[in-house]
Formats: sequence, C-alpha cells, structure tokens
Amino acid sequence: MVIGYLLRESVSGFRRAPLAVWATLTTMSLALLLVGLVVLIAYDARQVVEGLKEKVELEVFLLDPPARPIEAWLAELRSDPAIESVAYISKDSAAAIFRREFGTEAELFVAYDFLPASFRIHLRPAWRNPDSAAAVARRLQAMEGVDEVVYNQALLLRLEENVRLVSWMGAGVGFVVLLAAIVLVVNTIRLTVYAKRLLIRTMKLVGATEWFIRLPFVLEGFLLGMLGGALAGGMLFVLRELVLASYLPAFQVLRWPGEHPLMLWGALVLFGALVGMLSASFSAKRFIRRTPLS
Amino acid sequence: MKAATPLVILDRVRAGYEGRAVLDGVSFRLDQGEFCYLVGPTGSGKSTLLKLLYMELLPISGLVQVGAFRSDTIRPRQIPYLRRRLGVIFQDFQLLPDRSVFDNVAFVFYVTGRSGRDVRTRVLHLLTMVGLSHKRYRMPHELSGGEQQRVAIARALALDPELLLADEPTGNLDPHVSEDIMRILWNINRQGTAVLMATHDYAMVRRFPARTVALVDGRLVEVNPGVL
Ligand SMILES: Nc1ncnc2c1ncn2[C@@H]1O[C@H](COP(=O)(O)OP(=O)(O)OP(=O)(O)O)[C@@H](O)[C@H]1O
Ligand SMILES: [Mg+2]
Repeated sequence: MVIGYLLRESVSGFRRAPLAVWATLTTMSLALLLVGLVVLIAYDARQVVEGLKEKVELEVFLLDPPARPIEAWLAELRSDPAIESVAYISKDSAAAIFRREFGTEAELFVAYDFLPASFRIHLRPAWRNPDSAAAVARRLQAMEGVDEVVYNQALLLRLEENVRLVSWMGAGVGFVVLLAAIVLVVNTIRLTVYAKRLLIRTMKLVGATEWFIRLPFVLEGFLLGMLGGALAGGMLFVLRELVLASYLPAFQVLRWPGEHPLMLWGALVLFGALVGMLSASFSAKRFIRRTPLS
Repeated sequence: MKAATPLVILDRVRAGYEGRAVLDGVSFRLDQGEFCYLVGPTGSGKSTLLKLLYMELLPISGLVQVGAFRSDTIRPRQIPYLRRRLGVIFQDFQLLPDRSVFDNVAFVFYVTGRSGRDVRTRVLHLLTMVGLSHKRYRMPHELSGGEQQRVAIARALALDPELLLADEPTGNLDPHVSEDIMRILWNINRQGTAVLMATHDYAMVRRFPARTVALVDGRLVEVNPGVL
C-alpha cells in the first residue's frame, strides 16, 4: 500500500505539471547528451593522441666505430623500464632506408658513409610525455658511445597542451550544462510541489514525516534523470554510430569507452538518476518546508 | 478525585510574524480532557495561538509545551510526531478534493506508515462516529459543508489524539448544522479528548457553555461565557 502510494505519487507529477516535466526531461536529456559528448570527445581525443604518441620515437645515433658490441647495447636498452622496443639500424640499413626514401636523388651523394648507425626506441605509454621523454633522452645521451639523441619533442609538447585544453574546455562545458539541468530539475520539483500543496499541507498536518513527504518527489527526480540519461545515451549512439560514421568514416576505428556503447549508456542513466535525485531532494526539502499549513 | 494533568502549557509567550508580536505575555494551561473556547475579535491572534500548539509557529520568547513536546527543545524532525498526538480542523475543512471520503480518512494511516485491514475497520468506525459511513464512497464536493466538516473531524480523530484543535469549525456553517458539529465535538470531549475551539460564535458558546478564554490586545484572559 505504502509502496503503491509512493509510485503513484511520484509519477503523478507527470500529470499535474506536464509542461514542467517535459521541459525538464528535454533539458535533462540535452544536458546529459552534451555531457556524454564531452566524455566521448575527450575519450576519442585521448585515443588519437595515444596513437600519435605511439609513433614518437627516440633516435639514438652512435659514434663510429661503436663503443661496445651491439648485442650488449640492445640487452641494456631492452631491460630499461621506460623502453618498450628497440630496433637497431646499422650503417648499411640506414643507407638502404635513405636510398628508398630519396630514390635517385640519393645517387647525388657520393658515399652513404656519412649515415651513422642508430637505435630507434619506442617508449612505454607511461613515458610518452614531454618530461619523461626528455629525462630518458638525457639519460641515453649520457651513455658512452652515443653521439646524439633526437626525437620530436615539439609534437609531444603540442599534444600535451591540446589534451589539457580539450579537457578543460570539456569540463567547463559539462559543468555549465549540468548546472543548467540542476536548476531546471529544482524548478520542476518546485512546480510539482506547488501543484500538490494541498496534499503536502494535509500530510504535514496529520504528521507525515518530512522524508515521507519528500520521497515521491525524490523518486520523480530519479525517474526523470534516468529517462533523460537513457534518451541521451540513445541519441549519442545514433549520433556516433550512424551520423558520424557515415560522414566521417575515420571515426569508425575509434572505440567506445569500456569497449561497448552500453557502458556509456549505463553511466549516463546512472549519472542522470543521481543528478535528478539530488536536485529533486534539495528542491523538495526547501519548498515543502515553505508550504504553509493554513 | 483525580488531580488534573496539564496537557498544554503556555508560559509568558510572545509570538508573531516577522518580528511583530501578535501575542505578548500569553500564559495558558489546558488540562487533559478539558473543553475550552478561545474567543477574541478578528485579527486578535486566535489562529496564531493554535499554530503555536501544532508548532507551525514557534514563540519568539516564552515556552509552549504540548504533552512531552517543548517549543524550546523540539527539533524540526520531531514535529510530525507531535502532530500525530493532535487533531486539527479548520473553517474551510481542507479535505483532499481528488479522493473519496473513505480515502480522505484512510490517508492519515497511509502517510503515517500504517496499512492493512485494521485501517479499513478503523476508518469505518470513525465515519460511523460522525454519521457518514453510508457516504464513504462520495467525493468531498458531493457533500454539504456540515458533512465535509464531519469528514474533517473523522480525519482529525484518526490517530486517537489527546487534543483536538478547532479553528472556527462552524464559521462556514448555518446555525443548525453548526449545532450538529458542536454536538459531535461535545461527544468527543466526553470520551476524554481535550478540545480547544477558536470561535466567533457567541451564541454557540452560550448554548454549550464551557471554560472560555479571550484574546484582548495580545493578552489572554479568562472570561465568563454567560456575559459574552
Ligand atoms: N502568515 C502570516 N504572516 C504575517 N502576518 C500574519 C500571518 N498570519 C496572521 N498574521 C497577522 O497576525 C494577526 C493575527 O492573525 P490571526 O489569524 O491569528 O487572527 P485571528 O484571531 O485568527 O483572526 P480571525 O478571527 O479573523 O481568524 C493579524 O494581524 C494577521 O494579519
Ligand atoms: Mg483565525
């Protein structure tokens, strides 16, 4: 009976203040859609950046002749925790690569002898940032027999900077949008509280506890948030899988966070429910207190 | 003879709205099972005094005590439990228009966390007490004013309160319907519930004489009901 009452009352707002409910549901879905987009863009950007960072390699040019046997170098480098993989480019293969890349123009050079042997090193993911890469480069530079260490530091710096910018912008947009959604939920609940003031007054008068009076509104906020999240997740899926994929096929290679669209969908539903519930609870508490008894 | 126990105590109460005192220096005591009228010109603060008792309003200074609940120590979350010990009825009945007579009364049980077959029996008993069990499926707007007030009384008595507060319960009713309502209140009082009734209706006070207090210029004085 009590459960039945709660459920009936929590959906009755949909009937009593339909306009407010629709406005909230719309805003809630749009807000959560934007939040979802921010998350997705951040995630995509990260994937792209990780892909680019993966390509950054350290070239370690060796003095000629080598200070120690190549095998010893390789063994030492491979045991370095910062290093994922090492390839040795001998003088000969450096020349071959040069010739392949420059073709006949390469013939202009009399001898390929000027190309030194080198190691090409890929760092492990955790070291693929400007500071760590610089530290590793310094360390390698200090090794005996190393002529020069070269890598694209500018690219790493630029990537880092862009990631930071995108993250801040995403967080900013997400925050503002969420705030708007919260304001709207608070307002909707205020309207449904107003629409039910006679009921609330009577409940207060006969001694219903504050929580009991508030619960249907909290449940209403919870349902609105959940619905908003579900709608937002659906729109996001359509946007990405159908619209974006057909206009920008490059995005097809990107993965969904958690490897499955349902993960983000579920997260949005949960997050929406939480936001809806908390703002409704806040609003209901405030406005139920202000409902006079006579 | 059993010594009377105080149910309500007001001790030098000052109360009002936004710092403006409507009541000032009001002291009052109501015993268990007592019947008392509260009279005074319009705007003198009768409703304000009743609000103090169901603690919709807390005093600026002084003490209000109802049963074990004291205005100086009560927490907001305890107020519902105070209200379960009280019944309140108003001039405008304040029934819920969207549910039947039966559900208006049963509502009290639901919202205070009771349900089941006992509730049904109890609601029927209450409606019988006010003579309306045959109209239990009617909606409030299908009832006369007097009948609506009787539903409100049944609702107020649902949780077996020790005290019934009535704010001009006959204010909207014509004389002979008012008399029916008075008779019901009188009977309730005879069964042991204390009643405090704010009223303008001096004819009714003379017809059913009982202790009478009057609010004059923010103060409370005992008056002789015969001289009203
Ligand atoms: N919620 C409120 N806010 C501000 N002032 C109020 C409020 N309620 C009542 N008042 C003022 O307090 C004074 C006492 O009002 P109250 O309703 O207690 O009088 P009353 O004796 O019940 O009058 P009536 O016989 O007309 O019902 C009046 O001057 C009224 O204007
Ligand atoms: Mg009044």
